[in-house]
Amino acid sequence: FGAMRIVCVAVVGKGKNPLFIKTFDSQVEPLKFHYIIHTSLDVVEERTNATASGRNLYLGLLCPTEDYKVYGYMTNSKSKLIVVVDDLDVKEHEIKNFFKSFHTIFSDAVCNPFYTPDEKISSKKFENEVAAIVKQKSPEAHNDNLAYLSENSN
Amino acid sequence: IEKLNSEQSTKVGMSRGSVNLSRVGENTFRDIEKLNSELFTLTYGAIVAQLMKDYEDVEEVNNQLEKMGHNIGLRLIEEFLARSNVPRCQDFRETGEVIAKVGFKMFLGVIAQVTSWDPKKNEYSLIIEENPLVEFVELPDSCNNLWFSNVLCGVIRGCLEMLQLRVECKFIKDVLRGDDSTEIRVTLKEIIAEEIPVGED
Repeated sequence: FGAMRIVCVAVVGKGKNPLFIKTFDSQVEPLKFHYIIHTSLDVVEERTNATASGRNLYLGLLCPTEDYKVYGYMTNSKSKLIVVVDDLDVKEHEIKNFFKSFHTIFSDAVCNPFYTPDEKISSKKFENEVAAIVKQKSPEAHNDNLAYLSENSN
Repeated sequence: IEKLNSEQSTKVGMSRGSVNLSRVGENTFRDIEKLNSELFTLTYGAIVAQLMKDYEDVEEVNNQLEKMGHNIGLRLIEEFLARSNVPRCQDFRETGEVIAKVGFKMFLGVIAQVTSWDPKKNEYSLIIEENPLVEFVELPDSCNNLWFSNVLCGVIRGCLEMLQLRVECKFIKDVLRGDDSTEIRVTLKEIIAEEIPVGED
């Protein structure tokens, strides 16, 4: 029953500027995730400075914390996609697939002529689409799912 | 067929005409050169965004888009007539069918529906189900009164002007604004009389 649970997704710009952060765990203070993401960006910098050419977009596990695993993905334009998951049974290929969908949604949002790249993403459509793929990948991650809270012990 | 009353024969004519027009549209579209749709969408979007930055006034941008479209329409009609070989329209309503099934198909790759025909006012609506101009587009709150695809109104006005029809063409609804459909209202204002050159009778 160990399905992975996505608790937070984020888009970070070319520097360390967050463009979008959405959390899916109402029990946790959002700032905690902001901090986790910020820390993981240092790892991203190390990893991407190391390799020269032929870099994969998928960066893999960035840093495990005591409760979570943080995965990273950097586009060729240096935009970073970050996913924080609950430290349960995580399948790498599922994370990779998630990043692919996340990247597609992100590039659609960037194509909006009224959006300026490297600025905060305020698109409702983007937020909804992200929430949809998160829900797809981790059905119990839904914010208002009270049933999950009661089954927590499972 | 000669015994059908005029209304019936119009209907038969229209339905036969519509079927033919759809086929004409598809055939012409099939043979015409194509362009990557993302490039087209992004280019148009960039134009609109730039106009917003330059003019800052939504009404003015609506105007500019319509003017641009008008310029395009004046020229596009030649291409349209050359490529499509549609027969002359018998009445104003037919112009709607030709625009919707052939014009839109040829240049945008999608067809539109002609609805709400008002013979007294000589008006009809064009309903666009899928508008390729608006892919990826989300209107920011500051642009609530923008008719993003207003270029289309200008194109229709320009094309019909070259065919001696002065029309008024404007958006009534747009899915970008949260409406349930995208609708353009086309009204015939005047049939432009041909000018007789001086010296001839």
